[in-house]
Amino acid sequence: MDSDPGSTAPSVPRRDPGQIMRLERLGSSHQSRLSFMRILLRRIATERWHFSRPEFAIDEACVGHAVYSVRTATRTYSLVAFSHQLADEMRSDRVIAEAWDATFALFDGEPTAADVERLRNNVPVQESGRVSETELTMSRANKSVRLWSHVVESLAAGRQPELEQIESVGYLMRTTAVYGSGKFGAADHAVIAERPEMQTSFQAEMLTVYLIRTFVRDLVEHAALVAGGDKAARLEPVIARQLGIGNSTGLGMAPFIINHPVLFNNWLMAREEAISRVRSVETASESAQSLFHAVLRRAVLLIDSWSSDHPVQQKKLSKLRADIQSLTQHVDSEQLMGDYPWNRLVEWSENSLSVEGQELLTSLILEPYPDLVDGLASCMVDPETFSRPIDGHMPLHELKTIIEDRYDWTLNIDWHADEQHARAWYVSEEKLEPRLGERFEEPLAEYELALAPARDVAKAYHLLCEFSNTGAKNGSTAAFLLAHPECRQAVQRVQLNLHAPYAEIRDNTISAQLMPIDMLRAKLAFFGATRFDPRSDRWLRISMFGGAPYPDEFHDVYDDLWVYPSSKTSHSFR
Amino acid sequence: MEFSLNEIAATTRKAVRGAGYPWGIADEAAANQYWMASYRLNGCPRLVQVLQQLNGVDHKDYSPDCQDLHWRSSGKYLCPLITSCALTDRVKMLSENSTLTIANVAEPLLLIKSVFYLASFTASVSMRWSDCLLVTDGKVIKGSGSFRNYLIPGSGSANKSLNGKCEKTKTRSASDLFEVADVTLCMFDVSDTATNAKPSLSDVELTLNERSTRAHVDFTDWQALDKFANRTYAPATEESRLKGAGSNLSDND
Repeated sequence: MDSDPGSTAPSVPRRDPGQIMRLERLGSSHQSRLSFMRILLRRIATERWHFSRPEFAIDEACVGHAVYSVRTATRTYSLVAFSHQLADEMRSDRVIAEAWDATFALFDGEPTAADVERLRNNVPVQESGRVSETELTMSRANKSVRLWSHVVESLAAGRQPELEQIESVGYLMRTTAVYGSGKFGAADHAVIAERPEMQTSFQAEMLTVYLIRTFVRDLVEHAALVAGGDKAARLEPVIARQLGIGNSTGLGMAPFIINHPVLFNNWLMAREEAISRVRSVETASESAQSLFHAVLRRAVLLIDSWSSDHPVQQKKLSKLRADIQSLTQHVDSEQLMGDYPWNRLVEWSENSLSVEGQELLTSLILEPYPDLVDGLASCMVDPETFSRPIDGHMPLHELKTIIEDRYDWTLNIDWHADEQHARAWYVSEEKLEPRLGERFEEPLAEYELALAPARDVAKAYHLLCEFSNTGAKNGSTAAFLLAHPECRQAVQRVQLNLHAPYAEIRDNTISAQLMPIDMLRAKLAFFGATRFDPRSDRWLRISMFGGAPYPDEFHDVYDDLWVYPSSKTSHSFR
Repeated sequence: MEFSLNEIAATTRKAVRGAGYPWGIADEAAANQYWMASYRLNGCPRLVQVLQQLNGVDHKDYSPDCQDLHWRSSGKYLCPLITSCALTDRVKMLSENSTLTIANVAEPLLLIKSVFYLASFTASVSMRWSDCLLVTDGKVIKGSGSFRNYLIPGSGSANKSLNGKCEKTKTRSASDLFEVADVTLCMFDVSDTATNAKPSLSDVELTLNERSTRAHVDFTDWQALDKFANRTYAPATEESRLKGAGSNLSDND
């Protein structure tokens, strides 16, 4: 029998932040039951949201607009999509682009014709336009030209596209930004934060991308119909399902997890609590065991479909493939019998698998236990974003002790060595997006963003020691901060850490060895992204919603494990 | 122009940093402006005044000496951004039934969120400067005197939230005079009848108890903030375009 989830505290503690908060591990994160895409789709299925397509005014050149609406129990959200003609030389995934194949806004309600016209004048130009409080997000996407042409040509000729090509790319369009939270005049997150369906992080953004995926399927079929006329075929549902929406993500995403320490802590705390609960299960029921075996088989297919040209990711993938083989053999021989099977499995993995493999396993063991895990989704929020007062009353010796206990890892770094602060985060005036530069090669110091907590806490510690030595030993934090206002952020982070142990990345975010893609993946895995494909050390492509049911496919049976390909047969459908 | 509150916070944060304050002060100023806008308090023009007047000065000279209950600066006046942080940091050290005077504060309105926080932590607080009085228990703010002049010039919903007592508000903008005033904060217990001599919540005219989710900011003020914010952006070079963002690959694949 499985343990009762609510009766006692888990016997296996949450993993130590010192182990979890290293960039190598955060950069090996995987999607899980607590990923934002899966939380959204579970809710859609449970609450039986109703989808419709009130407008599809796209012409023969694939230019025009469409509206996709979804009705929840209490309100309606609508994706307003604009399709454009884009010359190849204009197609750029970079944030500095000025035109796209398609642009979108998520409207809060059902847009009138006047709303659509207003959006038509603003959304296609993205950052140069202005939206209003009725818009929750703004986004854009570019075609994967190669796959798009292949699919249109195949369907127009009455054929289905080649599976190899579908698999190798995984999406027909990739978004290059999904703006929310008040950007460019859109509604602040606070406007929707109290709505149950929007409480968990990034639900408006996830809904936007989910609806974009449906629009893209419809658009490619429309293009094929225009080209092929009566001959044209519809995309087979089983092929359409393989298609996700791609996303190109650059450094703009990295500062978020440093600038929202409590929210990031709450995401990790929820995940680590879920892992701790499952590891504390005394015995695994037969159904839990068989579900795990099934998920593991399906995870193999997911990993098989993941490729990357980046040498670092290729190395990680090759280890992960070996890991999943070892894991399959290990659970086959052990059959998950005996006490605390999941805990033993995790302990085994820590000595037997790479970090990628270990993190995949901690994600997979959550799958058989929705009752232990899914409720934690409601904890993945931070209602107090703008209210983090410093406790100025805290005696300095106490502050010093906290730093020594919790930030010993940064006190041990030699901050005099150039390589430890070789990089500087800054915002370029060109497109107002974060970038990472070489501190000793470019004049960036005066523009540096506060994205180096490791260095800043170490510096605050030394100033605090000096301040104490000058006779203020029994002084307060408030007195120290009045003398050293430049240490406010560092002191705030140190105090937050008392209540938010997973708030801080325990690595140097400005060292010469930094791989910024690790920071991006840490966040994207929580979104539920798969097939991480780094294109350099600072940007990558991913796939979102690949395998997910389309709005017309929820029916009565919802496969909550949609992210894992269901079988080799469907995976290689022809 | 209408803005989301996050836009106001984001621009404030960069503008304050661009004006030479540390990021931690900029964070608090941003949170304060977000909060003030949600209460329909017209903080942006007050902030513009501060950033322009204190442009290029050594902020240490405009920081309070907080040794006792009479805060003052060694310079001409106190910076409200620094003083607001000092007040927030000291809420546990300020007891009920005490009075704190803060001499020569520039743009005293910018202390209001820290006063609100102080009240939510200890007791009710009254704040007086010039002919302005406000009282807060950490839940609602009521004001009298010229307090109404600090409200964002009203939309219909803004007036409605003022318990129907609001008359047409006078617009203040950054072109108004730079305000410097002595501020008196009284911490008192509203349930204590012995403190009747102190202002009670029924003395005042305005109750700001409905939060707003948008704010109108005068375009000139917004431009002024943007100008300071621009100082935080590094000039683009082709090298930084390629190296900084890490991409020079074709996206036509």
